Amino acid sequence: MTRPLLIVGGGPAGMSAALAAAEHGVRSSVVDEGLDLGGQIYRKPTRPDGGAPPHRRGEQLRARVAALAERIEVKRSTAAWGIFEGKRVAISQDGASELLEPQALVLSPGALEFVPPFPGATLPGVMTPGAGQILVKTMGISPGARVVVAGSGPFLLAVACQLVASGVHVAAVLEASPRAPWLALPLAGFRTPGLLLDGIRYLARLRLAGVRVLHSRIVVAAHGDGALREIEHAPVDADWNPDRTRAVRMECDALLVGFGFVPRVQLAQMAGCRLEWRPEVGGWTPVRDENLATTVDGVYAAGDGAGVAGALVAESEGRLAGLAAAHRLGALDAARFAALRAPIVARLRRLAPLRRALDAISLPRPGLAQLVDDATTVCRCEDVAWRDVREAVRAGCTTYRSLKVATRVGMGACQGCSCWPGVARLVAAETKGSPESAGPASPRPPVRPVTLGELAESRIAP
Amino acid sequence: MEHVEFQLNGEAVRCPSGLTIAGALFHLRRTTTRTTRRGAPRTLFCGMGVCCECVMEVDGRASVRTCMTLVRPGMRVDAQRGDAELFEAS
Repeated sequence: MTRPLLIVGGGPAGMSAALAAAEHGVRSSVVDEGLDLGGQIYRKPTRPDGGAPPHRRGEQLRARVAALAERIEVKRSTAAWGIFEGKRVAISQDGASELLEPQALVLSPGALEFVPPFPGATLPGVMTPGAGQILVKTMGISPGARVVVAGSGPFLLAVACQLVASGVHVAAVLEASPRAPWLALPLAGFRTPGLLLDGIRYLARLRLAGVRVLHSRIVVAAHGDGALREIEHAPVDADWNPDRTRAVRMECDALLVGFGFVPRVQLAQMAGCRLEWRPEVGGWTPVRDENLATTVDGVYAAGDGAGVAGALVAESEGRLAGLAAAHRLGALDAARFAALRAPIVARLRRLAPLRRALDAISLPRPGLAQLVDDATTVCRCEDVAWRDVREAVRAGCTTYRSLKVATRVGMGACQGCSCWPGVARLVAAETKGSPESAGPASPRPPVRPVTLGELAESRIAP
Repeated sequence: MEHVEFQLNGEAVRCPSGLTIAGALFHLRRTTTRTTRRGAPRTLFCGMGVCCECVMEVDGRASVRTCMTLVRPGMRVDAQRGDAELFEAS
């Protein structure tokens, strides 16, 4: 029997949604692909004798969920691979698929890191800061002997600190944005001193470890034969256009590169939710009302997957979505819902200014579209070169669907999840338009690798 | 420290327990998970199950995301070849 509430994604938003609903007696299932709840930010170490101690807030949320096991069912290592009309969600666990038909659905899938295509980006050893963080934080494994962390945003500093704390040699941190606006952050963040202090602590630790943080620099190419051997980085202008004549080389065997985050909207799209273009929070996001309801009846969206804003916002949004779902399911009357909602809204308002200031500094600028050359791979899954996509664009293909048909870009296992945000920017630069006009990638179930045998066995007929 | 043994591309290897397959590959410094249709080697990239760069054949099952799967004792893990001929002449 499907429980009345289904939550897809067990990070801070998903756990909070389940907890809030459970407080009012609503029974839910939380589906998550990971080995345990926590999402990326509160990921638990898997190696008993390695890695860093788990994040305290993550431990608290997991413990609270565990204490309510009667009301909150947790399905770990479980992928939601399709959503069909009427909130019917196909999930796969241990090689078996089934269809869940909840009365309310909270989507809290989180975000992925944005890595625009650049020459050498597909070399083994080039990975996202998140991937490097997982290796060192949850398993005590070093991504390399000499690591460069590059891209934009405060996450780079957090990851570099974790690497240093684990004894990994960090050669440099290369931040694309200039230094000056970072120094003005305390003005925006005085109401959220905790977050500000985190940032200051990161910088102090890196300085202590002798790690250089270079601003206004971008990695323009990675080199190596079968594995990363060195990178080239160059100074950039205010729009992040690189000056290659001043590029310098730096030896490293791991490059952790990411320019902020992109909301994961595949599930919302399959559910039929309308999207809107909000570049300030990462790109395409589901349209939501003041209670985080999407345009599809009974479907809510919370956390970074609905607009990138970090773990604290995600937790508050999750709580709001969980209460809204409980209200919809009749477990919470209107007056009580309004009373519980008010402090959450106030908290979200308090968190907003620092976030907006950080976004303004570190959001990707148009210069990132200047990194590709003819042979650069722009779609990792299908190994499609920029030359082929550019020719197709010049021949009139400017949308995800037409380019996919013409070049196979976005046709692989990730269904454009990784590559399309970058390719859309390249298309925009080529057509002198906006990434918005290229549209979002359009996923088709199954969005996760599922065998034909498993599909046949499941008898799921959309 | 506890260790697990498993088969990597037909060879017995060992790593500390509690690692994902992708983590074990970095521990062993033998990172290639798959090759693309143009023969380029690939490995862990996003680390969280989205990009599918780190997929391998695990116990005969194709396209398993190794960043999401823990190493189990005796597991058979094989690289996937994107440039392989699907139907070889018999």
